[in-house]
Amino acid sequence: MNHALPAEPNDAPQMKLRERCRALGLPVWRLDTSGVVIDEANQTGLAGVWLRSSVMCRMLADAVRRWNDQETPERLEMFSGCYVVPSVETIRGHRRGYTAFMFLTPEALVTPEFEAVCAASQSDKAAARSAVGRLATFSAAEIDRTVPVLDWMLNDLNRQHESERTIGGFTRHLTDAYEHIELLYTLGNSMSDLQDPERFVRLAIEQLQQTTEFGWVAVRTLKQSRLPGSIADSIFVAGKPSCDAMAFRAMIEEFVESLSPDAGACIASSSADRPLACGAQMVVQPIAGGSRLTAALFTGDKGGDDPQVSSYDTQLIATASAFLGTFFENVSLLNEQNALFLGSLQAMTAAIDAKDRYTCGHSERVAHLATELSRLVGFTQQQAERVHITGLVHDVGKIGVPESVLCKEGRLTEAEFGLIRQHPVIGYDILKGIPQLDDVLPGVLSHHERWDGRGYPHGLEGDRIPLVARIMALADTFDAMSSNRSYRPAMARERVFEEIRRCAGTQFDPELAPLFLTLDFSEFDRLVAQHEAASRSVAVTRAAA
Amino acid sequence: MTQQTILLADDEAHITHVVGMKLRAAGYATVVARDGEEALTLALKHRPDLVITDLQMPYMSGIELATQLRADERTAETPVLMLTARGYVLDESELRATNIRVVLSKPFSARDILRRVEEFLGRGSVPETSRLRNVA
Repeated sequence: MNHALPAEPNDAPQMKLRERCRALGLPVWRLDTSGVVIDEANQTGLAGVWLRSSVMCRMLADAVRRWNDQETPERLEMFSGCYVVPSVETIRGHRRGYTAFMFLTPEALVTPEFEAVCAASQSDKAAARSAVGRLATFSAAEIDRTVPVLDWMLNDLNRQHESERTIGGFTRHLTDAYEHIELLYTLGNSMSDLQDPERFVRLAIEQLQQTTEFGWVAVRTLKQSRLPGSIADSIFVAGKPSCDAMAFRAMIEEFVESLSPDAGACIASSSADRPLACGAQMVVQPIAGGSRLTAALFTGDKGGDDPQVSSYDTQLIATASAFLGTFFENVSLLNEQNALFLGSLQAMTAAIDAKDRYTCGHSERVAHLATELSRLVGFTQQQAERVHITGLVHDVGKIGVPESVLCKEGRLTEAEFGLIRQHPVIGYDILKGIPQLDDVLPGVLSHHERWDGRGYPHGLEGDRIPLVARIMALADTFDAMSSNRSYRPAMARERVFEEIRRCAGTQFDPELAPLFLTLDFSEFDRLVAQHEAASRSVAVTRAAA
Repeated sequence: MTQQTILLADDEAHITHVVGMKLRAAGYATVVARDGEEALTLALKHRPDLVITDLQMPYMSGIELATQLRADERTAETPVLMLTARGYVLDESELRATNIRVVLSKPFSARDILRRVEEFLGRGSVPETSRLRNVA
C-alpha cells in the first residue's frame, strides 16, 4: 500500500506576501529555479508592458541563476537603480523557486538598460519613463530599511500559517475527543440499568455510529451465550448498510462462524477473492464475558475524509465493546441469579403441591392466571413478574398444615378447618425473613380474604384487601374449582364462570371478577393437561415402588 | 552530556507541536519536518539521535523514509519510532530494510512518546511503581 499522501499547497505565506506587496504597488514575480516566470508583475498600462518585456524576463532569469548558486540568496542590483529582492520558496526540503520583489530608484530611468527594455517592449521612451517613474520613487536608504521588513513579514506569515495548521489539527482532534468522551460517559452512565438490556445495546450502537464515520454499527449476540432470551441470538443494527438485508445478514453470520473469544479485533478488507457485501472494510470486534464469547460488534461502510479504518476508530470500538462486554456479563449474571431464584421458588412450591396429589401444579397455574389478570389491570411487566412470584408461593404456608388434614377425604371438622385457615399466616411468617420477597407478602397473607369481609385471616373488607390479594383470590378459587379434589371432581368451565359471576361482590372484587372471565384460558388448560400427565406418572412410579 | 537531537516528521502540525513541546521540556533538541522528503534532507543535515516519523505523509511515507535512512551510511544506525493511525504491523522485509524499532498507534499521549524515547536514548528510566507494605 502506498502511504505517501497527496501534497497540499504549502506556499500560502508566500502568496499572502505577494498579495500585500502588490497592494503596495511593488512589482512582484514568482519564478521557478530555472528562471521561468510562473506569475508575472501585474502592473497595468505602460509600466506593466515595460515590466513584462522579454528583456526584463531575461534579466530576471540571470538573477535566478545567480541566486541558485547562493546558499542565502541576496538582493541584486540588475542595473543601476533597479534592485530585485528574492524570497526563497522550498518544497520537500528543496529550493523550488523564488518570489522576486522589485525596487526602482529614479536613477534607473536614465540607464541604457531602461531604454533597452523600452525598445524590447516597443514602448515610447518618454511615456514609459513617465509611467515607470511613478514606481521609481525609492531611495537606496529606503530600500535598505524595507528589505528586512519583507523578511520579518514573511517570517510572521510563516509562523501564523504554522499556528493555524496546529490550531486546526487541535480543533479537529479535540472535537473528536469530546465526542468520544461523551460516548463513553453515556455508556458508563447507562450500563447500570439491567432491566431493559435491549435498550442499552441500541443506545451503544446508535451512539457509536453517530460518533464515528461508519455507515452502520451492528451487534450480533450469540445463541449459546448466557444472555437472557430477550436479547440472545439477535442482530442489532444502527445506521444503514449499503447492501440489502439478506446479504448483510449472510456477511455477519459468515464472520460469526469464525470468531474466537481470545482473538482481538480484526479489520476485514474486501478483496477480489473474498468481497465484502458492503463497504471496503469492516471491523470485527469479539465481545467476550470471561473466557466465553458472548457477542461480536461489527462496523463498516466508513465514509468521511478518510474511508480507511484508523487506529482512532479501532480504539473507540474496542472501548465501547468492553463496556458492552461488562454489561452483557452483568445481564447474564442477573439472568442466572433470577433463574436460580425462580427455580428455588418453583422447587419449594412443587414440594408443597406434592403433599397433595390433587393440588399438583396448582401454584404454577395460579401464578399464571394471576399474572395474566394483573397485566389486564395495567400492571407493568416488572409488577406482573412479582405477581407471578406471589402466585408461586401463595400456598407455602401449607407446609405447616398436617398432610392428614390437607388430603383428608370427606368433611373437615371445625378444628381441622382451623388448621387449614392458618396457612396464609404460616406462609407470611416463613417468607417474611426474605427481604427480596417483601412485596409478595400482602398477596400471600390476604389471598383468602373476601370482598364482603368474611374471609380469613383478618376479615378485611373491599378495598382494604390488597389488590394483589384480590387478584390471587380469583386465580386461586378458579383453579380449585377447575381441578379434581379429594372431596369432589372438577367442575365444568361454564359452571365455574357462573360461580365466579355469582360471587362477584361477595367473595370477589366486583370489578375484577368480570375482567377475569375475559382471560384466554388456553394456556391454563395446557398447564392442567401437563400437570395431570405428570401426576399420573408420579402415581405410577409410587405404585411400582 | 551534549544535547541529543530528535527529528519529528509529521504533516499534522498539532502532533509535532505537542510531541516537540514534551521532548524539549525533557531537554532534547527537536527538528521538525512536514513531509518525508523534508525529513530525509533534514536527517542527513542534522544527523539526529532518533527519528520519530508518521507513517502517512506527503511525498514520502514513513516506511520509505526509514528505508532511505537505513540505506544511507550516515543514518544507517539511527533508530526510528514510527507513529501511525492505521494499526500498522511491520512485515519481515520492512523490519530488515529499516531501523524502525517501535510502531506506536495514534492516539497516544505525549508521555507515552517520552517514555519510549527515554528507552531508546538511555537517559534515566522511569522508576517502577513500588509497593509499600505496612510493617507492624
